[in-house]
Order: sequence, then structure tokens, then C-alpha cells
Amino acid sequence: MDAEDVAQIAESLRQALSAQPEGTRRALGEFGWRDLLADEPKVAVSTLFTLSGELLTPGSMVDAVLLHAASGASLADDARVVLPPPGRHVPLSRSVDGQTVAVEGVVQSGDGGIVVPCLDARGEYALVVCDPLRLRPGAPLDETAGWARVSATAPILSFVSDWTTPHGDGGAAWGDMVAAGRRALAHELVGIGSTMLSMTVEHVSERVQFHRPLGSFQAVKHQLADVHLWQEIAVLSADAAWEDCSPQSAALAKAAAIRFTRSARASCQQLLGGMGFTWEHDFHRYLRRALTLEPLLGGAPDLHGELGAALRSGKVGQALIAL
Amino acid sequence: MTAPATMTTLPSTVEESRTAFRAWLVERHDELEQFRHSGGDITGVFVQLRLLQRMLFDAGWIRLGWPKSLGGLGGRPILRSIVSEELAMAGYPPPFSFATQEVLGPAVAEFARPDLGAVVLPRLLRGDETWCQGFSEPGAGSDLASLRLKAVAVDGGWRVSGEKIWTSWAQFADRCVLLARTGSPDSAHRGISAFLLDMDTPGIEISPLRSMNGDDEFCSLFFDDVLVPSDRLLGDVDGGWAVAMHVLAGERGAAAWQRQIWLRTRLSDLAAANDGAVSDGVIGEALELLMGLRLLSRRTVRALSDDQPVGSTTSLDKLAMSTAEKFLFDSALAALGEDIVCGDSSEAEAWRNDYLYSRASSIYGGAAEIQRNIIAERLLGLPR
Repeated sequence: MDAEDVAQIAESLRQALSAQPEGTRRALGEFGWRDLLADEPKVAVSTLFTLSGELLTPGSMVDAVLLHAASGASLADDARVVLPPPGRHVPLSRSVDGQTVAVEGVVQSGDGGIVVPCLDARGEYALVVCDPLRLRPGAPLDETAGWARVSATAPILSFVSDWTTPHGDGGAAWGDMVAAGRRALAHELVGIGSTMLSMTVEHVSERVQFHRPLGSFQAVKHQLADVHLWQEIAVLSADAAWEDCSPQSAALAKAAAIRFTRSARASCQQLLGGMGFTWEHDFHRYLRRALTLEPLLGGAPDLHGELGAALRSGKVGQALIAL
Repeated sequence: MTAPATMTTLPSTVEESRTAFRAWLVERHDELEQFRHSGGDITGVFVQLRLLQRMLFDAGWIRLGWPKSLGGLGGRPILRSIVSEELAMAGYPPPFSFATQEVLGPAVAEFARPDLGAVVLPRLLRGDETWCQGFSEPGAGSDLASLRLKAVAVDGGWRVSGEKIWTSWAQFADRCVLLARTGSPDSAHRGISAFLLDMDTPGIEISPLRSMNGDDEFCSLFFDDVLVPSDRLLGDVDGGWAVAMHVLAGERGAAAWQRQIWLRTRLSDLAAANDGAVSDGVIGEALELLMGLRLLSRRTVRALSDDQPVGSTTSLDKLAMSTAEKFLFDSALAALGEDIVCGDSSEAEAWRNDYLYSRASSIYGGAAEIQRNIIAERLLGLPR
């Protein structure tokens, strides 16, 4: 698939999502996005998640990406995966005596069955299926993102038995799911940060104070230059994560995306001034979504710790981002 | 492709080039062993680099991607970009003199009269000569277009008078790529011409300028009515700005690619220093910044190798480089501060030197403030 094909897919996906702003899943169903995910995962993920970041689509399709990465596992299309609590990538859920699972984490609200990555008493990874759980809807920062906390004990309906087969062990199988999720979130954060930046560039180019456009002041330029630097690196990193699909390149992509949205959150907020602090301005919606997604499957401290350990164990060779 | 003693079959892809070069490194292991450790004082280092360069030239590796008419083997320049990386991977110290060839070589290849290029380029590549770059002046740093060193047309050439500063390793250089004012004093970038000058021409005085890390890398150059023959003009009269931009692209392209490889080896050193005193988190963050730089640099190297314009995007590379470099050596200072401040081992000396040198990374080659202005105005389109 060449760049032109991808651009065409992105454009028709944008139209489909914009036509049904409240019905993302239906729109994607009609679009045939899951088939695209199966055939061309990079195209499916990079186009949808970047758009989700730009359009702030309600809910998240990250479950579909995680389940696709759990290759070998045969699970229902509408199954939802319990992610570890924000800020960590190792599951906190525990299976007890093979019958029940103590579920801790966040999950998309919905009706589908629940898939829980968890550890057993011996520290082995397992993927178990439960019935829908009572969620603690709470009062999330971003009410449209669809993430709710879950903390419950539930009977295990089944173990996903063929999950680890292609990988040999559960740790590696979960690592692949985490990497897939991080790639998707990196694209989504790029979409969020890019929208923050473009709305701010537009604002400082038009808004006049002291008889000059704000954007002509060097103090303003320099802040936005830094945001643009991290944007370019985040875009390239998200794209490069598909070159080898390794856990390391996915962690790098998510870390670069977080650096971008963090700098966009701070600088764009400052430069949008009082206008950007109002409810009417869209900025706060992007801020909320960024704050929600940044820590999912590991925030910056988690990612950096992982990357440092990977370098020390010789897993980051010159082949990563080769010429 | 088997390891050639000399290049008989040109590699056509980066991967072919890499595989063949690796095989060559293994085959010539014994001969290369003398380059395993850098050669003591700076004169020794230059002698050693010259030998290594000669060996790489004779085997063809650093002739890849240069036109045949200029002593090269043809093909795309990116084919030789693997050389520094593979040398670093095999544990040889960075051949920093290669950077000069990548910075000044392409501009001279592009702008010199063909018969001049055919003489000087092969000598540069073979390591017979080293060159220096006469751009900055006491009154023209980041504001390069305000330079004042004057070249006046005379019979048979030009008479040059004025001053240059921050010229790296001028005391070892055989030739200098010099920018001079040939237009009116207020002609800015429109009145500058570029020359390739022999450093043994009468009237040039070189005085080393000790920098804060203790090196004599940088020099002041004084020109007193120095005669430059007319065939040494690079490009057109008053067309020196195009030459300067070509040099800049080389600096931000292959030379920057080499530097990020070196920074990467220093990160590995830091990870191993003091029995792992630096936390995984800090190592990981430095890796993130270096990989960001690597991505930008790869984009630039690929574009230049394919003759694509790079424009203002290299300001991003430059800003990423200084940010990553300062973070790396700030982290070294935080973890190894006692050694850096009080130590007398060769490792402590290296960390101290690299920490101090890293302070300049946001100053040389266009200060970070200038890069941010360029990014904001030319890439984001903010009003001037």
C-alpha cells in the first residue's frame, strides 16, 4: 500500500467518523476497520488512532488492537481488556486458585465480555475471560474517553489457552500486547498534541497585543519551536515503531509521544492565555484526553526505566532505527 | 558479496555495504588492532587517523558515494554512512576527522572548478590532507551574514584581509574553505564569496585559542593581504552563501549522523560506569532523546544522499542534538560528579572533557536561539 492509498483511507475514515460523532464503533464496523486491522495493521492503527486524537472520538479501540496482538487467542470482537492501573504496564490483577480473579485496573465501559491479563500465585502470566463486571464509573477527568476503574473479584469463565503459543511464555505474549497498545496510543497522542499545536499557532498568529501579533514575540516563538521539535520526533518515532515492531521501539514511540503532549499541554495552555482556560475553548478537551492516555500502559517513568534496563541487557542494538 | 581486499563489486544497498564492511573488519582485524585505542596527544591522534583513513580509502569504503572524477567509486553517499557506525560497534574510537570530509567535501565537490576538485578531493579522502572551515568571525557568529573579512579582486586573483575565529584544528590544516566579503559592507549574504585557500600561503597567522575543556581545537586566523589565485573561487562571485548552506547541510547530515553514533557509545559507557550507578530511568530517558535525534538525522542523511532538499528542517536536528548531548553529560555529572570534579583516571578525564565540550553544543554551528527562530518562522510560519 503506497502513501496515496493510505491518505485515501485516512480521508474516508475521517468522513466516516465525522458522520457519526457519537457512534465510533458503528462507524468503524460499517467501514470494515477490523478487516483492515487484520490485513494492514500499520495502516489501520496509524490512521484511526491519529484521527481519534484529532477528533477526540468517544471511547477507545485500543482493545481491538490488544486482542489482535494476542495472536492465536480467539476472542469475541466486542471483548474488553482490563489494562493495568494508569502509570504501569505490569498487570495488577491476580488469579486466585484457578477459579476466580481479583481484577484491578481500568477498562472501557460497554457490554462485552472482559479479558483480564493477570498473574497467578507463581508469577506466571495468564489471560482469563470473565462476564461483564460492575464498574466504578466514578467521575473521570475525561468523561468521553470511556475508561473506568475496575476493582472486583469475579469467577473465571475460561483461560485463553492458545494465547502464549506463538511466544513461548506469557510475559513475552503480554509484552507484545503492550507494545501494540503503546504504538496505537503513540499515534493517538500525536493526533492530540498536533491539534493543540495547530490551534495555538493559529491563535498567536491572529491575536494582537501591544500592536503586534503574539507570534512575533521571540518568547512565544521559542516555546512553540520546542513543541514542534517534540512533535516531529513523536511523529517519526510512532512511524518507526512499525519497522521492527519490537517492545523497545514501541516504548520509544510512546515516550516520545508523551514528551510531545507534555510540552504541548504546558506551552499551548500558556500561549492560549485566558481564552484557553475557558470551558468554551476546545483546549481543555484535548488536555483531558492527553492526561488520560499518557499513563496508560506505562507513563514516562515506567517507559524510561524499561528502556534503560533494555539497553543494559543489550536489547537495543544499532539495528534499531537503521539507516 | 564476499569481503573484497579492494572494492571490486560496488554495494548497491546500505545492507550490502554494511555486510561487506563487517566482513572486511573481521578479515583485517590484526591490521586494525593499532586503531583500537586513540593515539595519546593530539598530534598522535592525527597521525593515527590519517593511517586509518588511508586504509579505508585503499579498500574503497570511504570512496563510496563520491563521483569517479573526484577519486570516488560512484553510487549513493549513504553507502558510506555505515562506516563510522560499524567501526564504533566493533569498538574502535570515533574517527572524528571523517566529519571534516563530510562537512567540507561535498561543498567543494559541488562548487570547485572541475580540475581543482579532481586534484584536492582525492587528497582529502585519502587522508593526505586535512582541511579547516573559515566561517565565523569575532563580529559574526550566529549572524554569519554580517562577516567582514574582505576579498578584493586583483590581477590573477583576490587579496584577502581580516580575521576568522573558532576554526577547528587550523594548525593541522592544509587548506581552508573561506568565506569572504566581496560585495559592499552592507551586502549581507548577497555579497559573500567562498574560496579554497592553501594554508601555507604567506600572510596567514594562526593562533590557537584554548577552550574551556583545555583543548587547542579552535584557532584564530589573521589574514594580512593574502593572495588567493582566481581558480580557487568556489561557485560564483558573491555566490558564497550557497556554498555555506551546502557546508551546513553536510554538517547537519553525515557529520551529525556520526556524532549521534559517538553519543550512543558514551551512553553505553555511562550505563556501565561506576557499577551501574546511573538509574535505568535516566539511561532510558537519554536513550529516548538520542533515538529522537537519530530519527531526525536519518531523515536528513537519506534526503541528502538522494539529492532531496532538506531546507530548514535541519534546525530540528541541531536543536535535538544539543538537547540530547547536554542531557547525557548532565546525567554523567549527576552520577559521576565526584570523579568529574576530583578524579585523575583517564575515564574521569574523558567525562570531564565531554561534559565541558557539551556546554558548547547549543552554541556552535548556529546557537539554539537561532534554530528556534528558524523553526518558528520557517516551519511553523509564525510572523517575523
